[in-house]
Amino acid sequence: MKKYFYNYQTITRFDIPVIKHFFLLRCMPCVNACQQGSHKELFLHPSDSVIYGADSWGNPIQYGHKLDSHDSFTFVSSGEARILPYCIPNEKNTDMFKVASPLTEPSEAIKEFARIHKKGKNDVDTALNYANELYSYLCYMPGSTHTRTTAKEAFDLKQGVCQDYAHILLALCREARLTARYANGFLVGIGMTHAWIEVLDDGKWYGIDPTNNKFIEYGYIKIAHGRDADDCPVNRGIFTGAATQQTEIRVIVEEI
Amino acid sequence: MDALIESRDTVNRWMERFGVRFGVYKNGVFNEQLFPFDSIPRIISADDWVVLEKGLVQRVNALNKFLYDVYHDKYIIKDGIIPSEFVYSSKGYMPECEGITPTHNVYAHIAGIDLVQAKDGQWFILEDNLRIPSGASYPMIARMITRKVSPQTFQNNAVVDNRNYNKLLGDMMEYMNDDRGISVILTPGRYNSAFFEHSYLAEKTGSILAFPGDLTVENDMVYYTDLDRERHRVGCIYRRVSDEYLDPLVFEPSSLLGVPNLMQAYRKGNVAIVNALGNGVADDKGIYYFVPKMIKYYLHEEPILHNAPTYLPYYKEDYDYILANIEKLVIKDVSEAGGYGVVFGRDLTPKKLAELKQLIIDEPRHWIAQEVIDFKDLEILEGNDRVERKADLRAFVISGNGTKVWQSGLTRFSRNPNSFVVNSSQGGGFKDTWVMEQVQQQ
Repeated sequence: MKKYFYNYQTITRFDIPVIKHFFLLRCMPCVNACQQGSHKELFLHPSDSVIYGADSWGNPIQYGHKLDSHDSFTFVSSGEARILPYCIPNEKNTDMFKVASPLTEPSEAIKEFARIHKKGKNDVDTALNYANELYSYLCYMPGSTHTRTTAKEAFDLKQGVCQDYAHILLALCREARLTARYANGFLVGIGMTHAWIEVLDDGKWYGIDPTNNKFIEYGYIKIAHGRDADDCPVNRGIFTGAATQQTEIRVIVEEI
Repeated sequence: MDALIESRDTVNRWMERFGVRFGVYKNGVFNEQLFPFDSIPRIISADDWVVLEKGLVQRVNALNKFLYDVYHDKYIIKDGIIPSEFVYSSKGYMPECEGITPTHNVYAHIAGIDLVQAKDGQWFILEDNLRIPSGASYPMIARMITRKVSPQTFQNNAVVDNRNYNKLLGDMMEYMNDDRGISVILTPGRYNSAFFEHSYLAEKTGSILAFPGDLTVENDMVYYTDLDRERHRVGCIYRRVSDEYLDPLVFEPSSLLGVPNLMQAYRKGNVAIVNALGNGVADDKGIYYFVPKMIKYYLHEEPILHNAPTYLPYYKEDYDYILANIEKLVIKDVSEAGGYGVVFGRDLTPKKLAELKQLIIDEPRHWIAQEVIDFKDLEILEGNDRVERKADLRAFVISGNGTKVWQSGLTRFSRNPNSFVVNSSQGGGFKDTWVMEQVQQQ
């Protein structure tokens, strides 16, 4: 077991004050057989109220509102996570992760890529093979894509960020009839949120990080999973006001 | 009845004054058009109605059970009745609804079931509409007006009084409300194609017509802010806003028609949403094929009403049949509605036919094919002549404390003699639908 300290901060500044601001966050770690938290805290400012709940995938959500005028919105999620090697027992009703989702529809080119690269001896192996091929195919390029770029688009661009790597790998895995899902959270050392995938093999979910071409053991603190990135955004908000916003994000994860 | 038929123009003038309109977006431009009323009613005999009513109640009960099952235990998938990919790759399946139990377990509160009658008198189900079926207001107001314009018609004919739709709807909303607050009808606004209907139903049921922005969610409760800025707890929302626009924090983030965090209040069971979210998985054209199987599976009954003979290219046998017989079939895109994405094989050039075949070969899950039903045409007045046109019937089935069928419905017809597509968004007209009283045995 390893222990990590995490601190995730987001500050959004509005150039003119806004009102009726509603938010829904996924910024606190999941609890599962290989991830437990302690000293979990969430600081939100300004906010009238916050409710802690869970979405349909069981991911922790934190939502609420600030109705009166304000010109910034800050949240800080911090605590400790105790982590065992990445291997999560399957939950019920996970067949939805077998089929393509809106952001992971395969194109002909993706299907072809899935066909020509050989399968492994089990599902994790197959996914790792794909991840390895994808790692040499795709070029990591911040700013080349946006949050709703599809697997098809990123595949044609041959560029993307962690979310795109994950989407394409999901499209490949599902094309090969694997059960696979999108996961996001915090990664030791990188200073921002990260995305990877989980593959179901023999009743357990294993983590694969296509951006870094690796099989995950430690160092990844998961906050949510879903069919693709659209199912589990870290931060969604809506407000009234013609403001433009600037958001600063800082993530610190350290082994303790 | 002749007096009624002659009154067509008068009735249409009244309807124009009442603002009975239907909005149509074409090439990005919004136009409101009148929904032409034809004064020759469709007449359904009491005996026919008994069968229809039983069959519709049965079908909607099975669909409600399916929706509960598909968002909870999924026995119908586990037992191999419906292949899982038909559920999970359906555009209407919403994983966000997994595990949510709506008030009183009802999903399809207002079902609009489209039927056609064949020349031999047999009724076939064309499609189920379980999301936001519209159209009840048109026969409601047409009956109100025709009763005024030609009262003797309704004295001389034993037509079942259909002026109870507001009560059916209102009672259902009250039951769903569960004494939690007020009931509202949520409209996207006046540029919605069915805005007339939203305002009319609000007036008739005594509900508040709420616009986007009138509703807010605080601490998992929904509130309506009235014109005096007073807040009222809301217990039931009959929403005429599509699922994907209902909560911008869960669905389409750019939606301005939604209520932020409504989904969380709904998940906690603090508000009823009519119809439930996620119903699209049950009225998907691909799932339609399985409805008779659902009836047997959940109710252990034989289906009373039949589907139009349907083929799913997903199954090898059907796939071969479709490719061999495409020119006599009607092909439908499973993800389209409102008469869009419907093609008749016989209307296509050999080149187009080959293209369509290729589309089916590429994505068999995307299509269904049906035999063309030999419709029983209905008479309409074209100028002063009686001509025959294709028509369908949308029956309205209300599920609340029990399942009830409105003894009327929306009969839509195609004005184009060569068209089989009767959807109002495609420029058709409508008729009153008369269900006749059972004649007393002497």
